Amino acid sequence: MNIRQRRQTTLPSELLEKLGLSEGDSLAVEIKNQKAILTPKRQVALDAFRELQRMFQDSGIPLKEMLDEVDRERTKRAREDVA
Amino acid sequence: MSLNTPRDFFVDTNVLFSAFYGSANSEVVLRAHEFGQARLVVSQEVLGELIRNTNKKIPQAIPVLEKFLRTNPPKLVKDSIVTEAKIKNFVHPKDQKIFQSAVDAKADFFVTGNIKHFKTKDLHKYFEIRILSPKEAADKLTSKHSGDLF
Repeated sequence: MNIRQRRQTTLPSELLEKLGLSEGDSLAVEIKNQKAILTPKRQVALDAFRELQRMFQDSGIPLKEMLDEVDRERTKRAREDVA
Repeated sequence: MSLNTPRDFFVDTNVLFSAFYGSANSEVVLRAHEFGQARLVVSQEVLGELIRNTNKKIPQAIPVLEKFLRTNPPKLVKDSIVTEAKIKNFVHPKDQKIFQSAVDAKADFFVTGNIKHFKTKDLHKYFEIRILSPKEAADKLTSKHSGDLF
């Protein structure tokens, strides 16, 4: 891949195909030890989502407790708004 | 609207938390956003509830939550200040403000785990937005007829 004027380059179609990317998709770029790692942004989000699921499910805090807290907070705010 | 334009799914806080706890139906809605089949919409109040309660109960998850939200952010809409009378009549008091935000944002769907708090038939007479449970939303998104939606 050559870098042309104004730092532009073209990603080979084979690379995009392997990454499941098409026009309009986004890439995240991470620099590690002078190497650029390109990751589809969708994959970054899905990896973060999986990590969130692991953290929430391993937290020992049940879903019901979390939702009850949201409900309590929302009920309190609604009462304050009325007042 | 083009057939390829993803529809706006306003999601209640309970849908986001349910997805993080592994609810398959809520997960379908979040994944649809990542794959461009739907656009997630949240209000400032929903985002605040998500962040505040995560910070309170599972603070170690905050950096990952931030990464998740920043990578492909949902559409963030302002909280509504005035609630219409029809919404006051047909929505549980604690959910009125959030539902009004979804209506004002002109979202196509409102997805909530607390569907019993909404008189859906009455609301449908007055508002174009359709109220769905996570299962109904997942069914729509995975239906072979979903092409009709998008």
